[in-house]
Amino acid sequence: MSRPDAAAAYPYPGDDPASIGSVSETLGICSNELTYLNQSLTKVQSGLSSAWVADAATKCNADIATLIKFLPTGASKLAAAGKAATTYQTTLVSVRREVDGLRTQWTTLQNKLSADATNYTHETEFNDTKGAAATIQDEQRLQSTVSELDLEYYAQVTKSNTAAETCGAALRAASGEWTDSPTGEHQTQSLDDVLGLGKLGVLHDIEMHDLAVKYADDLKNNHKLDSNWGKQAHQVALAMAKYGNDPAFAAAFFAELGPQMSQTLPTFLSESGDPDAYADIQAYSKAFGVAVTNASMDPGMKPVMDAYTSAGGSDGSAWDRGVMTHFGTFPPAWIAQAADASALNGIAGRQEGKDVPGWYEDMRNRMGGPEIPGIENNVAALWLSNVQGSPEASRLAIENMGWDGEHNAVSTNIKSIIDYAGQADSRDLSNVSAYNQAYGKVFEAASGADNEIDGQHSAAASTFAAGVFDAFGKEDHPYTTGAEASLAKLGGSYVQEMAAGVPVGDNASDTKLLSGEEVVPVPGDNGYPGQNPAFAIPKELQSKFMATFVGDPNATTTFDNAAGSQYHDALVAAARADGVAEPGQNETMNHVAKAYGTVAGIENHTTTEVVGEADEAAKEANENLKSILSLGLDAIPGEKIAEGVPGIVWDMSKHLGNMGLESTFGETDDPRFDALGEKSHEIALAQPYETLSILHEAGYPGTDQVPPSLLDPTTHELLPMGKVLDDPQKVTALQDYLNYTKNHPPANHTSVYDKSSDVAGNYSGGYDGGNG
Amino acid sequence: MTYFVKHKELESAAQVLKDNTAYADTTKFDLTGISKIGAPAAGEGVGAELAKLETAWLEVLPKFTKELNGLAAKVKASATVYVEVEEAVGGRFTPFAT
Repeated sequence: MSRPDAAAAYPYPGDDPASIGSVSETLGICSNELTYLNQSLTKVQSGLSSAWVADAATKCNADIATLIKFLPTGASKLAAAGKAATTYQTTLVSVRREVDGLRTQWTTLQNKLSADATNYTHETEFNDTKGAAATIQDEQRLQSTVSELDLEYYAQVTKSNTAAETCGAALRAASGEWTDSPTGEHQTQSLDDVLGLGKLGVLHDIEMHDLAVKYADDLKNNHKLDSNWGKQAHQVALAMAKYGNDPAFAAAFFAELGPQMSQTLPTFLSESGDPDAYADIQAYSKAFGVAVTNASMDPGMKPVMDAYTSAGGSDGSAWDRGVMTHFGTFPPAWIAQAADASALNGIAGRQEGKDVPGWYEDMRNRMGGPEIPGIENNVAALWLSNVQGSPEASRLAIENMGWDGEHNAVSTNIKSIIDYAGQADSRDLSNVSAYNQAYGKVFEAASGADNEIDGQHSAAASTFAAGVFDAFGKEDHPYTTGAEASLAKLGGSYVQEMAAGVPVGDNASDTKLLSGEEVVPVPGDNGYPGQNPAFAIPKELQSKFMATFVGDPNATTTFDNAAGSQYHDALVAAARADGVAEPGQNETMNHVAKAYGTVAGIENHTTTEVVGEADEAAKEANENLKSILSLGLDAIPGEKIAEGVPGIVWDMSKHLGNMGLESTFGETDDPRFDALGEKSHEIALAQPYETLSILHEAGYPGTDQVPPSLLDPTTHELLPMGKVLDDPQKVTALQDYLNYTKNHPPANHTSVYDKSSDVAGNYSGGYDGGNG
Repeated sequence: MTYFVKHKELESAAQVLKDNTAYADTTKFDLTGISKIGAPAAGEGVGAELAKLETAWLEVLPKFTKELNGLAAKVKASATVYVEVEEAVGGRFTPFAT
């Protein structure tokens, strides 16, 4: 019998391993490529996000995200399928090896069976019954073995099939991912929506432009100035509030509205009876600020802006223009020019006796014209209020004002502004007060009193301030009611300049400093340490300037606070200098005390003049003191008094001078005490205590021996005066200390005791000099 | 002012999208013929699944690459329109994102 082939008996189950290996490799490659594609497209998304900032772009990117969403999962499913294929391949290889083994065994068995078959034939022929029986037995045994091999083979087949099923399942999962992928038509549509032209950013400006033009035309072409116009103007004002911040909108609106109506809107709003006129004009004005600031966006803005800066001809619109520029924010140079054209040039011209057209009268008395409640009627006051928000605009407006292109010294212009108030019609004093207040704020801003520090003024600000002082130097009791607060603030920002302007030490006989009515350069040796005055204000000029505000208690407080603060800082710096100076060179504190004492004396003298009789002045002084006392001395901190309540010390200094330390602890005949009763000793102690605290702050030799009981345990600063005076032990400690320093001065230095005394004495001397 | 567009960057984004489309089209991504790799003897097993995978791949990938292409074209078109508008209005608008 022919022997069947082993391969035919035991064919290899499943797929060809090499082929499956290829499948695995291919799937792995595709998986990697999908991953790479995903990374690349994700980068595109972020690039689009940064390049294309709009709602449209967000949607577009979202669609890209959806489109590529399946990529990572698809990649991982393909990778999984590839791995399953590899596993399948490995299984197939091992199955085939087993089958090979089975085939070999099967071949051996088949050979043996063949041999048995031959033997049996031979044995039967020769009646070898025994042999035949043995052969049959052997054949049976062999057949049984073959059956076992068969079983093993089928086990391998099962193994292969199982692996095939697993791999098949993984492939099915991978292909299932594809059918779920979001590549349907709807994606494309949303991209169409998203990329529609209407959403493109650049066309936003065109949209805004067209919208603005529409609104402007609505107003412009509606010729009847009635309540309907007012209603429409109100609607347009609502649009201003909504879009007015957009440069394209604002510039296009006013460019289209044109020079005429861009000026006269306030009058039109008033005449048409718009009940929301104030809120509406505020919206228009703010948008106008945006338009002027972004005028380059529309060439039509140029004639509008020119109409403001070159107002001329018959012009009743100065007030309108002032209203239009009242609420918005404008470039400083432009608003200054507009203020000059509408109001300030006329003031300059009038003061020079020039032939200024009648419409400038409008500035002072605006009677009977259209009004918007809540908005200043006085044209000059209105325009001054429009520039006061910017120090630069304030300076430019005053510096450049001049009739017919004339250029004047800034102090001339300042004087013109001040004098204009004096020409006010007596019917209209309330307007003058507003006018004064307005120019006060302009001077304040222009002098850097709001945004700069005394001793650190910019050249522009100090030049202007010098002009202010010089202007008042030429005045004789000008009417400045309404401007006090600003002038006091201005003065308080130039206290160093006042201290520099009084004769002290080597300058004692300098007549320029005594009687000058203009500011002068800082005298050569008036350079106190830590002080940096821009110029020096002579005594007479200080008095003239102070006269503008000393009649007003609030304004005076403003000035006193600033002066007290400067004095304190100057003394500390002087104390530091004296602490390290050679004997004979350590008079700085004395000079500083004298200088500032003189300024205080000038202030007191001026107050007496302004307020009236000496009795009145003294009465007022006592009232002030009583209110300080009611605060309690606890309110006065131990050190850094200038930071806490500088005005108190300045005030006390001003009104009392030094009592002398002896009087602290004993009786005195000084009549100034009588009005103050029991508190007199405490008041007497105040000034020398403050001097001690300055010396302590400056680390003056000998102050390291201040008893610890007088110091705050944490800050090591002197305790507040009230805490010392409340405690008899502390008072004794203070007294002992002061006596000790008096009798044990440090080598080469004046003792703390003598220093206190000298400072007080010099201050007092200066005060009397200024007061005389 | 958040609506402006860097059109040059839009153009380069469009180009990248287009490059990816070409990339997706290459033979690296080719699962075609994978069904032929499987032994025909497998019948219902692995071979059949491979055939299904191939069909799915052949359906989806072209759509995907086509839509990438479309997207690239639209992004490019936006950049082009933008440039035209800018020219038309005489450079009045500042075409950069704030």
